[in-house]
Amino acid sequence: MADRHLPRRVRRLFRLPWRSAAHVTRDVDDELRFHIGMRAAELMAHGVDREAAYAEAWHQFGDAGDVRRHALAVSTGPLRRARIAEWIGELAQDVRIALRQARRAPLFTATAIATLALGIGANAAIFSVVHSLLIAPLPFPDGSDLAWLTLVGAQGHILIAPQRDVVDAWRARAHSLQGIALAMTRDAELRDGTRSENVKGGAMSSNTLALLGVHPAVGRGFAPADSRPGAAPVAMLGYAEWQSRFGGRSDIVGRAIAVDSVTRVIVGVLPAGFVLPFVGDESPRAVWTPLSDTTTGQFTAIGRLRRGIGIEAVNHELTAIAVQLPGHESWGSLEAGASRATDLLGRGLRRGIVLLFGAVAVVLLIACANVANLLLVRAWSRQREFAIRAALGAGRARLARLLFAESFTVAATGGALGLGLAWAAIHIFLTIRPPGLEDLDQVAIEPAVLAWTMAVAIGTGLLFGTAPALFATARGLSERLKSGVRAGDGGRGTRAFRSALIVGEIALSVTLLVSAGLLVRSFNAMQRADVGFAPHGLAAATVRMGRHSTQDQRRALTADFLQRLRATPGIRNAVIAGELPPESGVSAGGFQLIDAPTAPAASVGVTGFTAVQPGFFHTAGIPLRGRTFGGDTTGRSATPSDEIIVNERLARRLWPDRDALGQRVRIGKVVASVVGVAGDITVPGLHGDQHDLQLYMPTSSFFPSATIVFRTALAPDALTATIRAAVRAMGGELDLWQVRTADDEMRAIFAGPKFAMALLGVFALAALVLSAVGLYGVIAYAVGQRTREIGVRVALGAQPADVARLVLRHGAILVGVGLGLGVALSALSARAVQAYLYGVGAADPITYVLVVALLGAVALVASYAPARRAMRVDPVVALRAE
Amino acid sequence: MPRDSDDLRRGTLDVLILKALVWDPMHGYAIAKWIGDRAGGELTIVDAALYKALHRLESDGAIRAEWGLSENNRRAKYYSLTARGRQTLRAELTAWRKYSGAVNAVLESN
Repeated sequence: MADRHLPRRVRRLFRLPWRSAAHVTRDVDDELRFHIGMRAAELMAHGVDREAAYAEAWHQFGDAGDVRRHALAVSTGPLRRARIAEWIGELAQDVRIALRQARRAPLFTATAIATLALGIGANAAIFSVVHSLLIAPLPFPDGSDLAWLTLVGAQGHILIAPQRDVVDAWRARAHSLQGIALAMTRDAELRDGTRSENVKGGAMSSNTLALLGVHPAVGRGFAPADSRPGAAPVAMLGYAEWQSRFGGRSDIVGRAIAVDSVTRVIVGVLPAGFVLPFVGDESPRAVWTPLSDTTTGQFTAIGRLRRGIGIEAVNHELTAIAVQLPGHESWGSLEAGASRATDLLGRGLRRGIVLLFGAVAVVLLIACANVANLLLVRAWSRQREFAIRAALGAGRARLARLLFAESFTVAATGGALGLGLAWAAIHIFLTIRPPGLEDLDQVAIEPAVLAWTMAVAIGTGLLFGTAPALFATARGLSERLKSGVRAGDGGRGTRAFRSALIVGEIALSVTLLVSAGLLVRSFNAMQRADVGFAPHGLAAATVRMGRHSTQDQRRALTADFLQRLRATPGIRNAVIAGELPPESGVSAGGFQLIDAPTAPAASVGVTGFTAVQPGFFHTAGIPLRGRTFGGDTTGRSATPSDEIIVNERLARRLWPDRDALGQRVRIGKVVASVVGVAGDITVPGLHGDQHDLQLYMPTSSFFPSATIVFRTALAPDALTATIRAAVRAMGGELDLWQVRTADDEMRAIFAGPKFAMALLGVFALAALVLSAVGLYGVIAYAVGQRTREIGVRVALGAQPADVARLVLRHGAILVGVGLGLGVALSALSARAVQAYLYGVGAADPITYVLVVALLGAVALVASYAPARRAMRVDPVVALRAE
Repeated sequence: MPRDSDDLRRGTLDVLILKALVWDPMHGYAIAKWIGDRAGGELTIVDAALYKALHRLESDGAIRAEWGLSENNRRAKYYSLTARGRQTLRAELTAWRKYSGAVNAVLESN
């Protein structure tokens, strides 16, 4: 029987049956044999012979079988149930006592609960972030098996969407994937009768919903037949659109709606909140159409990994398939880059979350130390009560359980309040969420968060409840009571332990403050950094043209609109550009160097392409060596594509040993020469690879949407109104899609670091306040204990200043040791922050000096109040009090 | 703790056992001898009943048992009083004194 090996004490604790039936029987038999042996021995000593003695002993004993049966009965069955009931009864009693104690000391209880609620609340809030972003990032069955499939140009590190032929080959030959869904998001025009509206739309392959494990709320999803050429046009509605446009009516299936002028029959409605992962703009879409099998545009490929297959194996297989396809030589070396949702968080957010999680754990530790301190003081002041309970028969374990019941009552209340705090914090945050942190919208208090919070509350209860339970139930309690030692004197051991708690709290606070300080300094450096262009006052307007216009019509429309903007007051230097910096082109293409010193195959590069008009560099404030493109400024480029401009990084990469100006490259069939070298756009905190290598070429083709970049002094609201007026003046041929300012874009980029900095700052301040309160508590308590000693000192002629020095020295020693430890600890913990820092070292002396000065000042204030009280001790009163 | 007389009679052996264990842990045989010696032969306790009571008391948590070595170096099960056992004994003694006092008062009245 395995359970026989459990220590007795453990069995007692959990009230397990003591022994198995066989064990009980053997035990009883052993015991009875001993008894019979003793009795027989006694009889033999009186001269009875051995056989008769044993017979008589058994006779006197009575029914041994009855004893055995009885022993079995009492060790199992109803008595065990009775024990459990009794244990619960005692527990209820303990909790009642705990509640009574709490009512008796409301200030103590409130302080302990508030401290814990802060610590646990911060933990629960950050855990909900961790849960929704790192643990369960995609709300689909087995969402962690879903991956975004891309190709990566090995030289340029450019992410590109796989082409149709690649996907077809993957679908046919890849064994590591269960399937591949394709999707594409785009803006759409919905018309229903006479009402027309621009909405977010999308297209998906017919296997998408099945692959994701999603069932339509109404009707059916797309069937393979829906995406074949010549099939009857169908559409699915988003849940929100169904509710708002059609009032959620049940006969929606079969109705017709015009999507981009094509009349489609609605076949189904997607479930509420359905969002396709990995498509970039992850917001609910109003309408979905089937993605035709012949679509060749930029689509998103989503794969579902086979069970137990790692992401590396998938990448390996997909790469092997892709490189064998004809026509992919021009990319240079290619690699498949499958990434799951959690892999994609690598851009700082993931590290940031782990950092914050560590920070809240530290805050919780400090909170626990404070509560343990409070409970210790309280336990010692109740020493007399414990001694009396012990004298009345309460065992050490019973006393410890009573104290744990008190700790857990405090922890449970703190946990419940903390959960409320976390809920409120998340709620408030989501209403004021700064742009750039859309990832956090899915954060919510989910069952896993509840379980986590419960575990944390129990864990903290154990953590801070252990010390008081151990110290207060130490042996020799009743002796101490008898010998009349003053209640409340903690004894050397406890005093040292409480001092150690404070030292630890201060050290941990130092590490948090240092980390927060480093982030603040780093954020300042980021905002002052030279980003390589002039964001302030830079803005862009994106317009959409009719879908059926021709290249020439679009060229003319764009040129007209450009002219109109140039004539608009408040808008200067308007040019057509692919992107508004700091964003830059991600559409990638291959090119080949001509006259290259190295072998042609090795010098093929993959990079980001951005099409811009000649004035772009002037407008964006990007420094330029050489010259910009030739040609006029009306939207027409005189010499379309025989001139290119590269950024400094690409220039260094391609021609490390010579000037890039005048070099020639082959792009497709055209040979172009480098006429200028543009400065690099470097935005700290945004390490997107597309910023590494950049190639600019003159605007030559005109897509159904065009982006115009310009400088303006107008405020955002006025700017939008002005642009809207300009669009309206075009007579309905254009739709305004978006007005953006570079300032907003920069703010969104900085939102992550700023958020992390602000949160860490709040946690560090919380740690500071908690340690200050803890320090105050310990010193004030020590002063209270030493009132008599201080009285004697004053009576013997000590000046108030001497007394103050005595108290302050106590505080200074604790703080000094804590600071020393904290600085040493920070040297280690700063490494975790290092990856997050910009323009400031992890050992930044200014941060350390400021943190030490701040903590020192706060500690001085915390010790000063008790010192003042000590200075006012009246020797007569103090001595008489004994 | 009000009890009826039947309960009290059945509890008598329990009280005797608890009383026997007040000062030292003992094994079952020693308890039987201890009670027998004190009662001067007036009380005969059936051994089986004694062991049943011991096991019941142990499972109630009034006494605890541990295997140890006896005076003649044999393995024996020693019983000792727990804090709860002490409480029980105190309560039982008080009840017993009241009970026997009352019975005496009745029997010796004229």
